[in-house]
Amino acid sequence: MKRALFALLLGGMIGVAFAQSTKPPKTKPAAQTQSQNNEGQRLFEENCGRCHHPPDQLSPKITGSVLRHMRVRAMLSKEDEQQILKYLAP
Amino acid sequence: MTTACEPKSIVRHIVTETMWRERNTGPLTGKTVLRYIVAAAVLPFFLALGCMAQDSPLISGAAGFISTTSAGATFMQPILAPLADVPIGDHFLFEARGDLRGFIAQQNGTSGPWEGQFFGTLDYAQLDYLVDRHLTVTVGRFLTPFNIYDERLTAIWIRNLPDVPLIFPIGTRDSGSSNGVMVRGVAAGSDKAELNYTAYYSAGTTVDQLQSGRAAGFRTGVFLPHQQLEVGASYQRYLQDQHMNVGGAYAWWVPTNVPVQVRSEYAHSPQGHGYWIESAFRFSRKDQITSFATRVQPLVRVQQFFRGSVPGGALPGTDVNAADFGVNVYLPQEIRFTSSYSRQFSSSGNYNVWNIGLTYRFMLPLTGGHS
Repeated sequence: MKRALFALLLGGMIGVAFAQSTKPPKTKPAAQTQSQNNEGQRLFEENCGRCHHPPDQLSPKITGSVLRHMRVRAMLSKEDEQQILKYLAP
Repeated sequence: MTTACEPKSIVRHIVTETMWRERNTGPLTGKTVLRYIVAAAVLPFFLALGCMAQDSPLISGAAGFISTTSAGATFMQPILAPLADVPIGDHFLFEARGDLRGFIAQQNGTSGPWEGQFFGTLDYAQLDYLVDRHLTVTVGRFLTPFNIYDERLTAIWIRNLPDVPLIFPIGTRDSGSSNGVMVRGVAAGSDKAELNYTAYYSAGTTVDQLQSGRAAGFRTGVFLPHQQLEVGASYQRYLQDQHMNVGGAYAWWVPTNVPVQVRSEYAHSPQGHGYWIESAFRFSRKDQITSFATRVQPLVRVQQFFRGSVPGGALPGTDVNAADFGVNVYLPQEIRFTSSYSRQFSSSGNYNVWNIGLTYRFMLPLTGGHS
């Protein structure tokens, strides 16, 4: 019974994930293009977004320090750091 | 005979995280306070160095309060987890994180007067030298890079569920931290894939609040940015007391175009082995749904632990299966409401664990800096 419950939960999670991944993105084409052009946002989502969402507010004074921390954690290059900096503190 | 389901036993044994702190750090003492005072005196030195840099040093972290009811026994944990980041020049970063935590419970688990103990730990205090993307050298006290939960999700403002996974003590050992040297970076990479590595050596330390085991290990992983898929493996040779090999593997899938995250880890040691897999759902603003929906995150985690032949410290004493269900609500001003229910099945008895709490994340510049 317990194994069946675990199998059901595991199967459900994986099934939902793959079902979701086959759906097209809900963003409008224009918004999507804008997003694609925003290299900093893409880099943020790909690297920092693996663990957390962007903060609601971020003082421009400390954005550089936050990104230095992220360079160590996410193994970012200096160029990546500059791109994300432009996204977080334009 | 005490069983795992008796409230007193539950309070003492189940909360893995509190267990390490109780066993390995002890309550705050005069010596401990003195160490914090010395640390506070040293910090301005780094801050002064930081002032020479373009970016302002910052104090970040979180304050939180979590109430847990495990098999009918309730205990509460007020938590303060401050973090300091001090960039020095273009290539150095000093960073540190502490954890001050109370453990308030009734004397006999479900009856008697309430009693409280407070514990302080230094999670990390490290100096990083960032050569380039391919190499960063870290010295000091750092989070043990065994699998990736310890490094990435132990912060109370990031982790999805209040309780750490059952297998968490495997590889991260007792304190979750190492004292020594670490190198890390991207060995090879392109826009489509990157191969990263981390290697470390830790000396054995028995000083309160700074405890670590003598060990050496490495971790390597492959990250596919477009698929947002990350897989990797860890190995550690534990060199203190009883020498042993510890291994682990992880797979994370955190796509940006669908509101789902799937994370999983496996770990094996002579003390036991097991795995956890967690799936969380949260819409982002670009999904164009209501603001409230973007703030709610339901999640589920299943995990199994199988006891080994060697006594396992903070690991469960019996085989355990567990299913966790949680809902987090991200409120404005970096406040998060967190709640979870866990059903645990073990040979010593089945029981429920309920968690409810609030966390508040703060982030403050310490000096003027440049904007």
